[in-house]
Amino acid sequence: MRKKRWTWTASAAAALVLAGCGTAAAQGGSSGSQAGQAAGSADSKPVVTLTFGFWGDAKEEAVTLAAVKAFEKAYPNIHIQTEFGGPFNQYFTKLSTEVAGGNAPDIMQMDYEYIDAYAKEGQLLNLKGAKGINISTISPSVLKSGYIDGGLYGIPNALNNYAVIYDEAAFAKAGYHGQRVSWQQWADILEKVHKATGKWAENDDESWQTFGYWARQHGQHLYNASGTKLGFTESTLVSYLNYWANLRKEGVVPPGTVTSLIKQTADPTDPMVQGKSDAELTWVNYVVSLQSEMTRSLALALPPTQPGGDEGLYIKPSQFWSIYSKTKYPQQAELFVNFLLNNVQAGKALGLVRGIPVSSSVRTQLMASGISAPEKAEFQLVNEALKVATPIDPPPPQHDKEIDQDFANMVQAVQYGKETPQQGAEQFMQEANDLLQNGGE
Amino acid sequence: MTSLRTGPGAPPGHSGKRGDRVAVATTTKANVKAKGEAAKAVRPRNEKVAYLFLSPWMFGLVVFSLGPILVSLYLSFTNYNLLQPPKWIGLENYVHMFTQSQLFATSLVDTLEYILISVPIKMVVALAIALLLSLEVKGIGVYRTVYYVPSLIGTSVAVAYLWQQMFGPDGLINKGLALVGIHGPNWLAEPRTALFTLAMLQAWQFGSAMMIFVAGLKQIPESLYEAAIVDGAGRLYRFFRITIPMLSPVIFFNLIMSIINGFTQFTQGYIVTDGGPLNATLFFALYLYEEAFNFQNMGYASALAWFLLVLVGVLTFLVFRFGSRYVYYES
Repeated sequence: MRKKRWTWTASAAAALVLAGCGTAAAQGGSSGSQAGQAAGSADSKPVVTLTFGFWGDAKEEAVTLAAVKAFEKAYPNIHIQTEFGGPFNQYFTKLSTEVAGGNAPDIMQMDYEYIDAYAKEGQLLNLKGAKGINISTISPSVLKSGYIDGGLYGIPNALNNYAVIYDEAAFAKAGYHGQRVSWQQWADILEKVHKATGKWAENDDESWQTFGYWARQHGQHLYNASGTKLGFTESTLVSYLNYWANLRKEGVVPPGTVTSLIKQTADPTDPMVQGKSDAELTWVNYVVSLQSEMTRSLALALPPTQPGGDEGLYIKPSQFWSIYSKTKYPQQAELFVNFLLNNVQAGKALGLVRGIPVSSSVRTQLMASGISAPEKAEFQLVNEALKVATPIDPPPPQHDKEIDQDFANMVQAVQYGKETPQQGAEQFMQEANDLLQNGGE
Repeated sequence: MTSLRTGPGAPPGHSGKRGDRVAVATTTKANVKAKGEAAKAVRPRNEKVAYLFLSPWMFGLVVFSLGPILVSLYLSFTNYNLLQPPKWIGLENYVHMFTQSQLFATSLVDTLEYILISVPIKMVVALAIALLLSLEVKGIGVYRTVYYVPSLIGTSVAVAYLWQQMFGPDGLINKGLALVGIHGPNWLAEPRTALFTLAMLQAWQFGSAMMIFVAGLKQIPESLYEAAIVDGAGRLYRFFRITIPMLSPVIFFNLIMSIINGFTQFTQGYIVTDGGPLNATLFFALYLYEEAFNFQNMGYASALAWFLLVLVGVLTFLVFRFGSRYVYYES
């Protein structure tokens, strides 16, 4: 049996190698022709082609491409071949396949959810002590999230936190002007807004991650410290589900039949974008994308508090820039990452679409050069959040994606009235704990 | 396709497939006679040339189809998350599938329901339009092309988006219904109507089945109808007693193809509804995809793929076994 197994692995490997050759040859071909062009000009240095993978919405794609263009202008000898991966899930679908095939992009956008697994499998380059990247501009507490087992496997590219993004005019009707309130007060405000406008006051923003914020306010977490069990009690989850169920009952947030059709924040399926809802509890950086989709003026507030509870707010590195461990051009890749982080032109191009820049020098220069209104609001809110935020939870354990999906399924069943919050919570927690303990396979 | 040729083929005057075979046999004999001994000497070299011409295809088959298929069989007995090398776990994936996974059952039921709704509708629509298109009208070729178009574009992402827009809460369908005073349902958000909506999209792609029906209808000897008319048979009687029996091999072929096609549906569920609401449109292929690429359970997903292969094989066998009783072959 063992021998046979080896043969299969070998044939699989052979297939992957073959696939890898195909791409390598194709890339070699294209960079070769560019080298030829460059040789014709005054510059005789050979052109290096780096691949760069990232995800995002249309706005994020546009600003990233602009930053790439600025880099290519500054370094004519380096060509960046971009691989825009679409939304988060699709990007990681593609990336995991590319990594398995040994042909991932040289520079890749990484997420907190995945960086641990990728680093531990040796797919990412250790950037600790990398000469090409200036990390002195980044605060050590921010940089900390990129360290795994003593190595630095990703440089945070922006700072982010949960926020309420709301329609300024609509909420003014309820006398609300962005002060931080408790969950109970927030529900009252939403109801007033709903009565004043006749629209939904907020999206139904139940998600695994916003529930994580709720759990932290109860002194609990999504997972226990070792990632082997869920880290919250059933009553915490039931209270969260009930909070939203009450808002749904009052018609303050949309019914399940509307929420189930939302594909992504700030895309045309978002009731906020459709003008049918007036607020959203989500990552603060979405304010830029959302504002670009509408004429109504948006404002920001820190998410509601739990009186007598803990501070649940935390600062999340939006994403990381990481370098593939098998890259042929580590130096050039570092140069590119450094450019994205520390260059003012790149900073201007990227703006605050992914969150506020990590580099202190870019931050000051951006503020000085004038930024758009939603960007300014984002800036101020993250600064406020920095003052109160508590440390982020450790990266989630394996199977987090499945648990996230199970949670979404459960929430939907509750929204459609197929399950009570109590039933949903019970069943979900049992399934999730089972997955964490037995791996579900 | 064989059913087409061996079916109640041949125009009036010929005796069906026997006649065809005779014709083929005579031409071959004639060739051999003409070329004489030379033909025999050339044969081995011809074979080599044939393999040479086939080699790109053979290479593709082995490297891009057969190889991955066999690898996936191996992977179905492993725990493989794409980042780490596969770990052999024996039958665990299969055990999990049948005993622990609720979504596995859900996705199977969804897929079967989808097939049960879409296939009969598709067959009836395809046959009805094929009957219309087999009339000898001026410009019939244009009509046939127009009705075939949905089949070409129906599985595309663009049409999936179009469908999503049309059946949205304020989509074209509901606006149309509002004109006649009907408040349309929220098609894609209700578990019952969502699956039905996707089944309609599938039924809309009746083109291939329709073209095969048209070809089948052309093969039915006119003399049968003439004789029936002389005997005083009405339209309906002629349809059920001549058209349907003579067409049965073609119906049978279309049925099997539609069932297999139904099991492999992915794009519609992925784009239009993303498996929702309440997993009502979580087709088997979509469930497989999520396990493989969203959750990186490549081993388990491979096991699902092999289960699907066996399931489709068994179902096709059953259809052959019990369906062929009702198929009339003229021989």
